[in-house]
Amino acid sequence: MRILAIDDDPVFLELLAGMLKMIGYGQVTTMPSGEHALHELDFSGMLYDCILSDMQMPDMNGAALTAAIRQRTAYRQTPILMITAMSGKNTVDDAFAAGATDYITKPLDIIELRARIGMVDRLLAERRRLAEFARLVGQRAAATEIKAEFETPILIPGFERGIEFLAMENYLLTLGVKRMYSTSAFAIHVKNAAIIFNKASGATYVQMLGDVGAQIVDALKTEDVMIAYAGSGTFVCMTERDLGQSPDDLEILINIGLMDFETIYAADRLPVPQVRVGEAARSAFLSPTKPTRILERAIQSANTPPEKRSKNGQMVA
Amino acid sequence: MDTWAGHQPEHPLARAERLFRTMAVERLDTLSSAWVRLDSGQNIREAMEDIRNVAHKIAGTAASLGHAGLGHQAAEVERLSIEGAGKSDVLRALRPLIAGLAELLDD
Repeated sequence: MRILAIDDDPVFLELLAGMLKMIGYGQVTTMPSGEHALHELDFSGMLYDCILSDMQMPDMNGAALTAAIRQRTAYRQTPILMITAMSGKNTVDDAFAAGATDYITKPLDIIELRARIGMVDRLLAERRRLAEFARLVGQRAAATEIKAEFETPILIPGFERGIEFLAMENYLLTLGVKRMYSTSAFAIHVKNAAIIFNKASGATYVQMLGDVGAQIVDALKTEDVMIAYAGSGTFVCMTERDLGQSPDDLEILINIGLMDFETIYAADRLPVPQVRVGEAARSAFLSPTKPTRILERAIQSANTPPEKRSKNGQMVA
Repeated sequence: MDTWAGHQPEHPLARAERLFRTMAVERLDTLSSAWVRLDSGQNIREAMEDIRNVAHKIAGTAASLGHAGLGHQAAEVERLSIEGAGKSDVLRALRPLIAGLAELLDD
């Protein structure tokens, strides 16, 4: 795995490269700033598999660097891990919003480093496996492969506001107790996703997800919401803000927007995607559970028709 | 001050350890200079910024190289400077950090 590491402290870069070597990752290139890193990505001719960046750097911080890297087509999906001091954990929010995949805390712990990089390795291996499969058996078979992975969360090509579902889960784990309780999640489920999935090619199905994602962004009218595709036709949104609109209103707005595509879907003999917006899920003060539980509850709500949900409305994790 | 990485030239962390010790000279100078400015009340903001930057860097690497005490002292100085602690508190926390760096250079 080719790794690009960025930090303004040369000692830390040596330490990181040394630790990565100890756990079996010897192909590490280091850069002292975001500007140098971008120059390396643009002009070195090297394609990196993973980027590790310090969060707190002068001039260009980790969040700004992440946003700049994501603008480069070749690096839209490359895992980017932020490195931050424990005291700066709350500053990684911006980096996650910009497209970071995960974070590692300073001082480095080799067990944590091994676990985080191992996760990246497995992610890359899975992507390579899919790419190789598509190359070997052609587009038709690739579409079949996507069918077999209906439940898999994917990063939708062209959906700029979407982050990886894994990154959303990782972000939740960074929140302290106080912010955890002020954060809510709600999900938006494409009710006829399975029907479209079974009728359409893999590429058309992914295009449909992109259409839904775009309508969600339009309907939300705010950028203070993180959006990820969780698989099985369900998007998850997370925010610390009051959106000022009910799930019903949001659902109507998205579905009206999707009807604009009616002729396009009709040409493909497909139904227009229609969504259901679930109730917002929050963490309960008196019954702390694992942070990612609110995502599960949000998805559960969106996947359940309103008449079958519990009477008290809001989902509490 | 003993570290496993520094005493084994072929160890993957040996280069980091050597660089840490080399940079300690410059960092000790920066902290000592900032100490004087802070103590005398001159350019306090710049002094605090220098202290925070150096402490942040030491806190991020020292413990991983086997200098746990130094890492802990640096983290405390960084915490105080981030939280806007008073001059006397920062000076008090800075003293063992400067002493620890000086000891590392004597080693």
